[in-house]
Amino acid sequence: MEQQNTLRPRLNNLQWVALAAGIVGLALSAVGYFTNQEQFFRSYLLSYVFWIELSVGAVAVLLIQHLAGGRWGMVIQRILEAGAMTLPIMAALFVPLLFGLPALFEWARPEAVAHDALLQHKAPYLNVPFFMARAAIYFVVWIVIAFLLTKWSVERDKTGDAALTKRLKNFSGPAMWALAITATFASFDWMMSLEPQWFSTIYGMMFIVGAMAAAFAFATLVLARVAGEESLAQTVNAQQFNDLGNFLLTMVIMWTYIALSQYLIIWLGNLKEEIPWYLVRGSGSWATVSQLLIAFHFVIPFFILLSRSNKRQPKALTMLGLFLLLARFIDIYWLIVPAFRPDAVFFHWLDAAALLGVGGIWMAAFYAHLKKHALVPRYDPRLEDAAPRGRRAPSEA
Amino acid sequence: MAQLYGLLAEFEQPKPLQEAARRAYEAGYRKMDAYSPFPIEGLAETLGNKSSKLPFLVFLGGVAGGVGGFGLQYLGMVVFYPYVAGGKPLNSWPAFIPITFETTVLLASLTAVIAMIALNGLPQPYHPVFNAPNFASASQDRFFLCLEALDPKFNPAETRQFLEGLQPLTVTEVEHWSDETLERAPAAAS
Amino acid sequence: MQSSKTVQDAVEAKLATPVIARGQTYVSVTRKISEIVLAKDTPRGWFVGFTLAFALLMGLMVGAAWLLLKGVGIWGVTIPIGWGLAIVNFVWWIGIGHAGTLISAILLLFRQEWRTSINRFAEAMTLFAVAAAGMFPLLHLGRAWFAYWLMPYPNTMGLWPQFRSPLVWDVFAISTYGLVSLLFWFVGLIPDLATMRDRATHKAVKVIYGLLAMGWRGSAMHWHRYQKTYLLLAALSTPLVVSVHSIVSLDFATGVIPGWHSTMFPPYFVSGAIFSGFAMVLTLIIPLRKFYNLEGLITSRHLNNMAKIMLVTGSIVVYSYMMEMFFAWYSGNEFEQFAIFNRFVGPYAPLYWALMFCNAVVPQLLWFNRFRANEMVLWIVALVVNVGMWLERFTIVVTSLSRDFLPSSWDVYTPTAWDWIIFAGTIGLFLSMLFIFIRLVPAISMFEVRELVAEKEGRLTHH
Repeated sequence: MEQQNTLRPRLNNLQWVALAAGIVGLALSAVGYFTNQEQFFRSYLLSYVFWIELSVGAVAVLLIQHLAGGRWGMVIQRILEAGAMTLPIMAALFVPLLFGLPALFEWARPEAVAHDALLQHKAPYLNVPFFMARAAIYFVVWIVIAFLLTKWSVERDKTGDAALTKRLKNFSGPAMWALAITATFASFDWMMSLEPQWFSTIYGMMFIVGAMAAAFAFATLVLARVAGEESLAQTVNAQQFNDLGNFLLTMVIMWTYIALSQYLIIWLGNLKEEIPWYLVRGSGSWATVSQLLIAFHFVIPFFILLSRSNKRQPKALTMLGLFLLLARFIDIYWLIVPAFRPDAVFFHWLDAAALLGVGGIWMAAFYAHLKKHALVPRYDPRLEDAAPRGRRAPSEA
Repeated sequence: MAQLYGLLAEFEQPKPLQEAARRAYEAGYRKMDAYSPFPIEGLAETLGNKSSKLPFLVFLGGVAGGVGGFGLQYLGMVVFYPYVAGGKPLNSWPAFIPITFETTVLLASLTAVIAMIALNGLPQPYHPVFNAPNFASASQDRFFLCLEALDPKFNPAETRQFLEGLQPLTVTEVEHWSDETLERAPAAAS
Repeated sequence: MQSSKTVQDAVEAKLATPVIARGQTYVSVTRKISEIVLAKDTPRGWFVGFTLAFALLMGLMVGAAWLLLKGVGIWGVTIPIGWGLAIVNFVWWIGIGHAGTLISAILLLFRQEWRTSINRFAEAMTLFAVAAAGMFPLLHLGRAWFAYWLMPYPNTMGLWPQFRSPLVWDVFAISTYGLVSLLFWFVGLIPDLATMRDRATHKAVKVIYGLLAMGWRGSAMHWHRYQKTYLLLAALSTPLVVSVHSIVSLDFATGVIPGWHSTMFPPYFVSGAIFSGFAMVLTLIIPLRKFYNLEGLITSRHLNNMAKIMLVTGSIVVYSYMMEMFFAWYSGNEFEQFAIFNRFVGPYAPLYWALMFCNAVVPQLLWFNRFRANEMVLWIVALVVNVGMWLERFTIVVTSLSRDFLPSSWDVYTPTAWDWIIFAGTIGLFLSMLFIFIRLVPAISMFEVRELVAEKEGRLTHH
């Protein structure tokens, strides 16, 4: 495959850089583990959630693009597949968390549960063995979906078998269901149960939309970076970037819609079991983070994405993708950290170390998969649509 | 003698019309218009028209709606009728978001439609092209290019020759309203 | 084995039918669509249908008159169940309207060309559904003639509407929605009205369409602005339609009634609305296309795509039911737990299980190609979903209200004959307007179908 001529060495280098960064980050985190065990787990959970969100989001967008995707879906398919295939290593990286459950979760501390009737009521769900069993189920489901989607799509590249297209489509419907349910409960387990007295029925949707926003931002960013490659130059044009920009806009609006729905309902209801969650996030230095979140996750990207010319420039989209990933991090930080530090915003050097550690490994796994296959699938019924009129995709020429 | 408005070339499909519009612009014609039974992308630009300022007007309308909607609620709830309900602050801005959104959309939409109609100069029951006998098919299945007599480059004979070179179905003279057309009108209508 | 394979192929071929039958021309589509309106003779079937619908509408007139004379006491509503069928029907109708906006706006933004031959009809459906929905809050006011008090205007009483209340948000949302839908529909109609003006043979008909078309002549610059406007309206209508049903859901969710106070309500209600709206489009369009022989314009592909959208939105609805049940337990709030328990086994349990059957079980048939390719099955599923979504609203409104926090104030609500007459009456109102619409206005957007023909035949130069 001719494309690898220019791209492969670059991806190779990036993979090694990422791997080195990951090892350094994890090593620093390990040092942190021995100096401040509680902080280690908190920082690790924060960065883990940020990166696993990207993997889960990649699976979700991949399923959607198999179900309903047009030209836009095909050009990011391989990037999403590589993102989804980080799941096995992410499952391995989940294991350290299992040793810190009491440090992270109030419901995992028997002495806390003994004094709290509500936690006793929730104990059939919020208990350590069931938590672990559920996590195992989530990972099995996600890895199976990611693995099959990738396998069939690569197979289709080799054989061009139209039946595989149909199989991918038929599989994606039920798989979407499985993903929605598992991702929902994963968000309850790993994030919402940090404040176990609180609950919100929209939380699962909020996580899924956030994950899809992250995956779209990441895929757009990567595509914009590699669009200049020879193998892609003829397949990817401004129209696809425009479409992806519109999806980013949709994601920004949907996130805002869900966040606002939750806020309005809890704020107007003003019940003592719900409102403390917002009282913490609305007071002191957390109020500043809340304002930043509104600006970064809605106002700024919304107005940037309204402009058509911004959506058609790979450079602008690269910056915007990075910006949205930053916004995603602020959101996750805002969701998780107040559970540990309700009084004031708190940063620890371990946050950065863990983010680098998990992220480095994630990126290394991503590059390792991305370099294995052609950047654009060879056989896809939508391929002819994606290529400029009258021209076949380059890899087939 | 009725005054000439322009020459109208009739085409069967959009492609020849697009081609004709391009050639006419290249030949130096500026006062002209094309008529089609459905929108043809890029045709207005081919004829040398500038992009419309409509989106900007709609944006202004939206801003006015948003500011107005929030202002209305603020004035009502904080200034004119301060009344504590449900323990909420007088300026309950989260509760004002939904109506602010609705008024934004309402004013933006109204601006879009009114601006479109006004900028298009509608309602305009009379226009000289309607005098052309075959123009009724412009809203059904035919595509027209009209080169107008006011164009400095317009010359009845030469322009006709130019249009015929584009291989239209017909080339018709379009006349302004006159007593003569008035006499013909009932026949055209039936 | 061989035969099942061919059956499968036939099903797939049917579902892959192009969005417009082959061999259509500008003239053929224009004639086909405009003749339904311009034909001198009205088909007998039209008269039969209209008469039935009009009879129901007369029921609404009688019911509304009696209501205004006697007051809302003629309905079965009583404390604690102050919201009965009126609110159920209101939410149901508004939801039905949403499919129209979805088809005309969202599918336009996503460049789904199959929307073209159904958008006009769906938009009309939206308008009439909003009109039918609007009847209920008005009548529920008791003194409907003071409805204008809901609007903010300087008055001698020095009063202002309570802007913190979702019920006032509703006033703004519904009126904005109605008005914007009307604008969208009218803008879509302008070029077609010009076609009608040019095709009509009767002088008076020509003048009427001519006035409405405002002198539209299809000039290139006009089209340019027209399309900008149309796209902008679509982009504005899309969040609008979501906001409308979200605000309807907030009527419930911002209260602290068990079973209502749930953060998931806005997306849950919006999905349910689209679900029921598409069910209504299918319910109406399957017989309509048969009656007027429109199979070449509204093909199996359209029905298939609509069924798929029902499957997606239906899935979100089922997901929401599951979340509702999980959180009733997880919250640890005994009132929430009781609200769900009461739905399972309380006085309205049969309705609850019926709604589960209609909304969660029956639509699963739509996973299969062979059912989506079968109009009869589709039509029955759509009908069942219409019923199921009505039952869902009934369950949400009535079960929560009938079991208050205080057992001493518990009660059971039974709709009276007037409740039913007025509900049937709004169906009459909706159908009557629909019949009139089909007779007077082209039910399929002619200019967009012509554009589709040009695209399919490769008649356009691309830039």
